[in-house]
Amino acid sequence: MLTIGILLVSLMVAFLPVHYTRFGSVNEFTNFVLFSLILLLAFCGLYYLLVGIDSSDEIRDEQYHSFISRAPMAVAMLDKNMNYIAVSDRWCTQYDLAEKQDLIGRNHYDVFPEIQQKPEWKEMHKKSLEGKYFVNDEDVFIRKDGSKHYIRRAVGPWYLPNNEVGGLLIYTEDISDIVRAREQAASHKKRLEQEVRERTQKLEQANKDLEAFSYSVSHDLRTPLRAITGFSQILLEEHVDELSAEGRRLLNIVIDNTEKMGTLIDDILAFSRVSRTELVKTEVDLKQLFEDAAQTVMEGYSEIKDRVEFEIQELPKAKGDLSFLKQVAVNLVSNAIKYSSKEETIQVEVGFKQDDQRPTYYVRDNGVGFDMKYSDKLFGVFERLHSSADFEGTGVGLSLVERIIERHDGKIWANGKKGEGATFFFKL
Amino acid sequence: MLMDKAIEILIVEDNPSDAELTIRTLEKNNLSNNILWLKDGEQALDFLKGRGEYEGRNVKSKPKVIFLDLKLPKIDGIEVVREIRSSTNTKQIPVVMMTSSQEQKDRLKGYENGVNSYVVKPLDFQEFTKAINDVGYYWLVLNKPPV
Repeated sequence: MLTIGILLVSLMVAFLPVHYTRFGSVNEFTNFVLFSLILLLAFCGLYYLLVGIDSSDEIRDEQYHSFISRAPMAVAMLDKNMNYIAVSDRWCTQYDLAEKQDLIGRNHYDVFPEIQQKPEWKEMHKKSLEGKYFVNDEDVFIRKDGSKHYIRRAVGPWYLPNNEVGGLLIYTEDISDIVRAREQAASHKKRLEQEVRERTQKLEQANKDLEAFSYSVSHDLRTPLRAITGFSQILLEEHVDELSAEGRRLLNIVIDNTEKMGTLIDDILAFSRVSRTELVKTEVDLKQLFEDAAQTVMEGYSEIKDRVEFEIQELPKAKGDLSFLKQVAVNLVSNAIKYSSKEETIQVEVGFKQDDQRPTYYVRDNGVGFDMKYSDKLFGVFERLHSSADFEGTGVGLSLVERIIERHDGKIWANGKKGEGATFFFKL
Repeated sequence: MLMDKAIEILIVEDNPSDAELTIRTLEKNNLSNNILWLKDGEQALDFLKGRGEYEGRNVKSKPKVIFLDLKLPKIDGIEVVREIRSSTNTKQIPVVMMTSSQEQKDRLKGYENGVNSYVVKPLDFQEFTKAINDVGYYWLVLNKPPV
């Protein structure tokens, strides 16, 4: 008899760490520990009752019946033939059975005919009657009404004073709520994953649509524009005599505006391309990049060429996408020149500061600068701080630069003062 | 009809304005008088293979160059160039892809399928005329065709 207690303690100690890894949550684990402790107490109590008290059989029977009957869990005591000797109240309520008095003496398999579908349970009972103990932290029990119960269970023999097996003790706990909560959580997770998958798909589709749209913008919108400028130009060149001075002026306005629209289309396309193109990163010589950019930009400013002073310092190399960084350099330099174009001498300085691990590069000019209170508008798409009568532009250039830098996980910001030039800083 | 004259430049272009501007520019600079303008990929292939409305055309008479638009009705430019390259009679004809598309993937597709040149038609009319003149001069005057 002493072995019951010892066996159970060792059983539980052995099971605990294994179970811990299998439980979905700490809460479930705590429940199991509690269950195990109650079980231990119950077995110890029974052991004490059956062995420790030296009294007549009737008194002993009454004591353990009353013990089992008050147990705060579903407990049943059966004889060797699987007939009920005693059950707890919880046993009856949990399994929706008749009054417990009516249960006594009846056969376990008659009370639960559904066990016929569970040959492994019958096998377990048989082995238990031979002296084995079984602890299961989760099993499914489908009742004859079709309802599905999840139970946690311990089955073990009880012994007569002569050390023979007297029958079985079965302890169960309905863990359907815990299991259902777990299943619900799993199905929530599954649904969430499904939702993420669907959204990703939609996003990919949206991206594809956007790509098709940009494509159509690049191809279909440019063609009519070319026709407008082209035929206007032919009018100006070949039919100039038939046009009045005012007619020619108006036609030039048409041409000018068409060209502006062309630039705008190009800018928007370049902008959308930044988001949908994969970056190809290599080591980029930024000094070379800015020197090339300066040259490219100056080709468009031949009339002010002589007034421009470039100072491009030695710059640390950086990892990045060459063609996108080229765009950054061209846009920053062209901005610097554009907004300084009204100065007598245009000074553009490109340099860097090594303040922490990554160098901060900068492009400084001595142009019209800007009011810091509008600095948040600098990088907004189509946002402009100057009218296009003063300085031409579409308001895409700097937002393009910002987007490229952001795609490189970098940062860009600016410092300026009205009338005292501007400095654009960036890290890559 | 143009059918019995040797065609020097075959322009495949669905946009009439673009076609007119191109033809005008070429003719104005005396680059070619034997220009044939076709409006879609099917027509172009029919012409080159002497079938359909060009049934019986002497297919041995080949244009010096084909100016091919990328986006065309029925059969697009890429498909046309692929067909041209896969047929013994046409595979040597120089093909210049003339397009408004700046997309790199279009350019790649063009070269992968065997275009000899890829020209993005400039938006600015002055630049456009210059580009057409340069391309025309190169392919009709400077370049020596295979036969």
